[in-house]
Amino acid sequence: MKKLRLTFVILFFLGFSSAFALDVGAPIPRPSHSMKNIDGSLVTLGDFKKEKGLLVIFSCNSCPWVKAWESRMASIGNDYSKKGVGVILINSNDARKVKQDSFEEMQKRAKEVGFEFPYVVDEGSTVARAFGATKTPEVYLFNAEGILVYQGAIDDHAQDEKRVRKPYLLNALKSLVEGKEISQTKTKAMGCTIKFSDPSS
Amino acid sequence: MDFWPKHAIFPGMSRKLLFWISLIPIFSFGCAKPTPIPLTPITAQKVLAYAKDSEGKLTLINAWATWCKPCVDEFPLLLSLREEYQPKGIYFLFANVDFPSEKNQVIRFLNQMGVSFETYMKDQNDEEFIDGLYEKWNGSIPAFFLLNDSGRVLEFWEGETEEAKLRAILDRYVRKGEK
Repeated sequence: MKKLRLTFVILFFLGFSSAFALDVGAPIPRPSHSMKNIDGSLVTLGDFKKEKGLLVIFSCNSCPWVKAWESRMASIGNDYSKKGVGVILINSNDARKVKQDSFEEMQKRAKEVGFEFPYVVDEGSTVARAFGATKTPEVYLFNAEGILVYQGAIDDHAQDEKRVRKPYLLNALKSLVEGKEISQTKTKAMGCTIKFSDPSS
Repeated sequence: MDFWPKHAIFPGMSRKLLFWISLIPIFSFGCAKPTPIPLTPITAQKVLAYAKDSEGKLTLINAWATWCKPCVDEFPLLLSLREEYQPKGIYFLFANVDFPSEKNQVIRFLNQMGVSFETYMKDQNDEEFIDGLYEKWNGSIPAFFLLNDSGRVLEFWEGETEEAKLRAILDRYVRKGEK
């Protein structure tokens, strides 16, 4: 009976819990792990960190919240990648589960939206697991030393950019680039669960 | 028309006219629009208040949206589990988190699913709703929260849920009689 109970507890935690979430102050997880960019090249998070830091956004093609935010993701990313922050978009969804998240669809989407930074495939959802990321879009901003300084949402209004009152990510990026302290280091917003690859696949 | 009695209240009204007027409710019954499904705006605080009002029962809250494929896929299962587990003391509360502009789409979906009970739609900004409901939730859906009548979260999980896993959790609390 005890064994059965233990098995249930283990299964429960494996199945349901998000084991951990990267906390502010943590270093970049898996900085040397290679991921395939939409241009076919292999990139690592370590390679893409620039002199001011690194912005990682877990994203995808299929989530309506991503779609609502993606033009802002493009403009913020394009802007700050010219200001010394490495920017990278990671798609950790298993394309076998979500066809819209295939490599070809990622290429198309990046072109349509105008991403001027890498949009990479997280094969096996390895990097998402290392970050403890669970949803899209989800933002992680690291400083020049590769330490997490902001985690959470892009802003406080997905549906309508004009109604944004709290541009969380822009504020954090501005502070980072200007060498100031980031006032709000953790925020939350709705999003879609990452469709993780099965560990065995 | 002789079977139609002369109306006592409207003696001047012809029997023929009275006959046709009397048919209106019969025809309008057949053409009546279905009763709109209640989709009540809700805040996290109200969700918790409902759980606390459950008088010794547990409340399973499902945060979902119409465009969320796993949410839509598992919706019929949740409806059938609701039928099965509510008599066993577990209330189901569906909290929709679509954008407010999608309200009609949500109602259409609920109609298609044959939902005739009250469900809820988030009426609060994301951060207040997420943190207000459960601080460990980061806002991804589908999300489930099993609360007791003190508003304490007994179980929380995110993502699509297999029937066996969901049943295992619910059965465990039914057996335990957790309050």
